[in-house]
Amino acid sequence: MADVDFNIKEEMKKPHLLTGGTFACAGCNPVLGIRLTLIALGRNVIMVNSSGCMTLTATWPFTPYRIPWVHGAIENGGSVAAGILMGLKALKKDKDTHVVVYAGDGATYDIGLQSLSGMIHRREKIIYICYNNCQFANTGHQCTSATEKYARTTTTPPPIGNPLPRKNMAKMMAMGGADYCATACVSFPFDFIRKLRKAAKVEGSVFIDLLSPCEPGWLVKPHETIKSGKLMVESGMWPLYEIEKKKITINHKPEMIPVKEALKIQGRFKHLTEEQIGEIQETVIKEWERITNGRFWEAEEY
Amino acid sequence: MLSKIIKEKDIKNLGKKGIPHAVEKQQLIERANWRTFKPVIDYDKCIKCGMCWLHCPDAAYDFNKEGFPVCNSKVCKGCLLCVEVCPVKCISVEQERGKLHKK
Amino acid sequence: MIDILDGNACAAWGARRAKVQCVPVFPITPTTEIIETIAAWKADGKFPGEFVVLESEHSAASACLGASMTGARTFSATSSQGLLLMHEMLPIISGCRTPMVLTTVSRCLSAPIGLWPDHNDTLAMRDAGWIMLICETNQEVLDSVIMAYRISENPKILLPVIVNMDGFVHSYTRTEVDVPEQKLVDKFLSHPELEVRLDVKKPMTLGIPAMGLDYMRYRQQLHKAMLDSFDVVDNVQKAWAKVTGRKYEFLDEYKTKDAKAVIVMIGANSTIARSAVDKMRKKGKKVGLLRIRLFRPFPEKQLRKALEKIDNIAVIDQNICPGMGGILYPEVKMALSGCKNVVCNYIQGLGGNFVSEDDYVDILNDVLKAKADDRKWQM
Repeated sequence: MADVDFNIKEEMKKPHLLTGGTFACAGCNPVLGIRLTLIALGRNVIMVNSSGCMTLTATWPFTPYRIPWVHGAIENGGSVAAGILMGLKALKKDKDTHVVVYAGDGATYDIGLQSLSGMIHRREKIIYICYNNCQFANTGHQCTSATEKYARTTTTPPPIGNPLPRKNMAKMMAMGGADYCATACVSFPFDFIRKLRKAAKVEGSVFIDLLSPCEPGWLVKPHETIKSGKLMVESGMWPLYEIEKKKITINHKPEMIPVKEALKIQGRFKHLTEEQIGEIQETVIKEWERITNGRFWEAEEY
Repeated sequence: MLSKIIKEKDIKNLGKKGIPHAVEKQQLIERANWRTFKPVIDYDKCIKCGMCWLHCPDAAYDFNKEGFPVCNSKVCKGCLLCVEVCPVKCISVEQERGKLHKK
Repeated sequence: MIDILDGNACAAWGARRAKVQCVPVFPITPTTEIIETIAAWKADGKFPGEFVVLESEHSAASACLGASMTGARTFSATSSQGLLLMHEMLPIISGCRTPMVLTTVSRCLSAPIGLWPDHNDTLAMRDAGWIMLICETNQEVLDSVIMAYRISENPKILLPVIVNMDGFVHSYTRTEVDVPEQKLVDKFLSHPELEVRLDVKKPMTLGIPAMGLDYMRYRQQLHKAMLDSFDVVDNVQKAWAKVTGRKYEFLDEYKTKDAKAVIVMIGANSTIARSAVDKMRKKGKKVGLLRIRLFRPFPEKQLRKALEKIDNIAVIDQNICPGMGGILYPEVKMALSGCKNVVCNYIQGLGGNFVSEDDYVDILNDVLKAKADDRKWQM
């Protein structure tokens, strides 16, 4: 990756800004997402958290964070961050400080959509990262509007699974006025770090949808979380792209392996019939064609 | 009885400590007892690429003077992601717990 | 500077004189004019702070949390349903011990939807851990906003403050108001730096989860700060009296010394009740009025001291807790537990239903005759 302004040897010398000892599960990808964010953006970050798994990374009196961090409530990541930015501007401390929201997919796609859309609309200089594990993981893996079709969650049990397809949040936010919009995956850390470094230079609102596999939610083994994310990307189920000024750039050309391979590893898709897998495969191919053939902005068929 | 009853007027003002916040503490919370397996690095094969450090969710990896990664066994939860991502497969797995049951 | 201002303008002037730095808001009748006034000042360059209209009251309250956590002085205003939408954030703001001032302009709750004032919205926030000052006059609103910052930012207290006024009766009624000079306010109000705040130079984890006994300890500390704030509020009110001559107390007592019957109430209608008391006094009836200004923390001891020797008490509630009665009534009864007074509850003026001097005369005549506690409605 030529344009990666990232020297891993240099970064390795720096102290951890997120230390270990958290309550997160072994192999937790959302926590890894925070680490990557802090590796990319450095010390000058104020992180806002929306209620979710990542809230419990810090529990009094222990904190793993070496940056200022705040938890408000679940539905207001965007507006707490807007308030912080307002405060920093009033105190003239907003230069070189990145206000970052790290919120789950339930807090972004569903309950927190209002505060996110307000923040995007006002074009506040905030980086909003949605760690997307495709479910409300902290309350025990319930369905959100980021859950894939037919996936098993505790509110959409088999045999049917989730009857609805997921929202395309990155597209929605790009249409809503985000200055920089991207999808990313924890399994592609260099891509994510590059996007964050790019986002840090953007004078405006940034939305990054970060796919972060969840070990107990996706029913994968702890050491397979990275692999399952990689398979999601390589099968075309989670295309990696960035959108600037309504121009979409594909960052990683997937190998388009059969989705069956990607679904096989995840226990939450175990109940799927051949027919359902076929349907998912068809949608993925269609979606990929839309992105590559310049029809990304057209209305999606459901 | 572990609890005790105090009068309202005897509540002490804890000042700054009464505000819910936390600052850096030297001591990490140990998560060693979460682990069944632990990663063991073969330094002969290691190319110091730092992928284990980059992918560790628990920031367990630091580097020694020679630049080799060292796993902090206090915070490693044994997820073995490092084993998965190592490009030269120099990290092997050692079982720490549950051996008795296996036999 | 003597001016003719309405309540909303008074709140805005209070914020301006207090040199508020952040104003995250969302419009709602009858609060809107506060926001419009500050927006106009901002456009003219008279207001140097940050002013942002957010996408809901909930977001406005969330932004207040964020802004005040950085150490900036924060002000917001809302009413009625907006306050209820903020409700989720209010215990979070007080629980995080972030100082700020929120002006609530009382308006009745939906449904049926109404525009006019009663106190159900503000009194619903009584358990949120905010200091609550409920005002009677426009001047008091202005003074209270300025005083509230000194109370709120006291390092021993660090609690947010609600300054309440009544919709329309205050908010759109112009009266003569003395706007204190900037120099005077600057001298009165310093801006102490928050020790616990969001700052990249001093990383701290705020809003941190706490489990079990730790949680209980933090709640206990919140209660403790609330109890400690009695002294602070008292001192601030005395200090304000020293510089402006306008004296405020927890309880505003009017002709209660020798009274046989006393009205206990909150809010703007106290002014009408006052003239009813005068009217009755002219006829030789020994009646008085006690207005509760500091509602949270509840000045239980002071209230008991003021009321224990009075035979008949009429607690007037411009609010209704369905299934229980007035909200103020049980609180006054609690303060008077063990006393032998007759305490009657009168529900009136819900949804801004017009109340006249004669209505209070009726209530006073009624309570003078009362032999036992009773709950009544004045329709």
